Amino acid sequence: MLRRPMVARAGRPGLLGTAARTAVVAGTATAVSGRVRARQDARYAENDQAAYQQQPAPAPAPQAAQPTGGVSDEALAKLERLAQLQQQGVLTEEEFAAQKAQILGQ
Amino acid sequence: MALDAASIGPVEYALVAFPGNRFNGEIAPALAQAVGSGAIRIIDLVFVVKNADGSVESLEIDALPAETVAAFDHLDGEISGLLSEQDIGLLAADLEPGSSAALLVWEAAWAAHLATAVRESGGELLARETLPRETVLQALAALPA
Repeated sequence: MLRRPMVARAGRPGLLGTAARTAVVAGTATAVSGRVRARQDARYAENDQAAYQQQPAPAPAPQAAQPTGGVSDEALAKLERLAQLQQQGVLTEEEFAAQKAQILGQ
Repeated sequence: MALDAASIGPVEYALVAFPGNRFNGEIAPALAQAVGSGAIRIIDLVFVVKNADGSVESLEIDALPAETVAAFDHLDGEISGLLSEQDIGLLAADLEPGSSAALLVWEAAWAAHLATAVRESGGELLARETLPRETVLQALAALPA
């Protein structure tokens, strides 16, 4: 039997918002999640500078390169693609970190 | 069996789309098997309809036809409301207009059990990750024949 101790679904960040933030920040967004993930990243990462500050950088990305303003959809799309390339082993962690720092520093 | 922050294992979601506005319980037996074996524990379930004009409605299970409710109700688990309206909106963006979907969240209970066993044996689970299928296929393709 499916029990239903349900709380209201409105007015909370929920489950996926948190996941999307973590994925884009940690550079673990994967190709398989594709369109959904990309959209989540774009939607959530824009106004979530706090998460960037709290996450340990996967590689020595200089703090100075952390964004001070919003991150554009275009930049996020690039990051998403880079994360995929890193995941696939096309980019090394260092190369990914350098690209990421550059994109976020723009 | 309430959701407990101390003991909860890895959580996964699945969005299962059906063409047209029809929900049925045909995936329920396969889910029941996964639940019955202890592999997963269902922790949320909601249904989504994307109308022809692109508008999205979410439906709780009890809003569905009785036979669909019955099929899913056989599953052991709970509907926690863990998915927010925002989550549903994000996922619904991938649905075609004129289609519907079941949105499921489950705890990978087997992984939690494994972690407990490892801990109790004095070991330490250092890494565990579900790999994307594409990654696995690439690795398989790269294996020497």
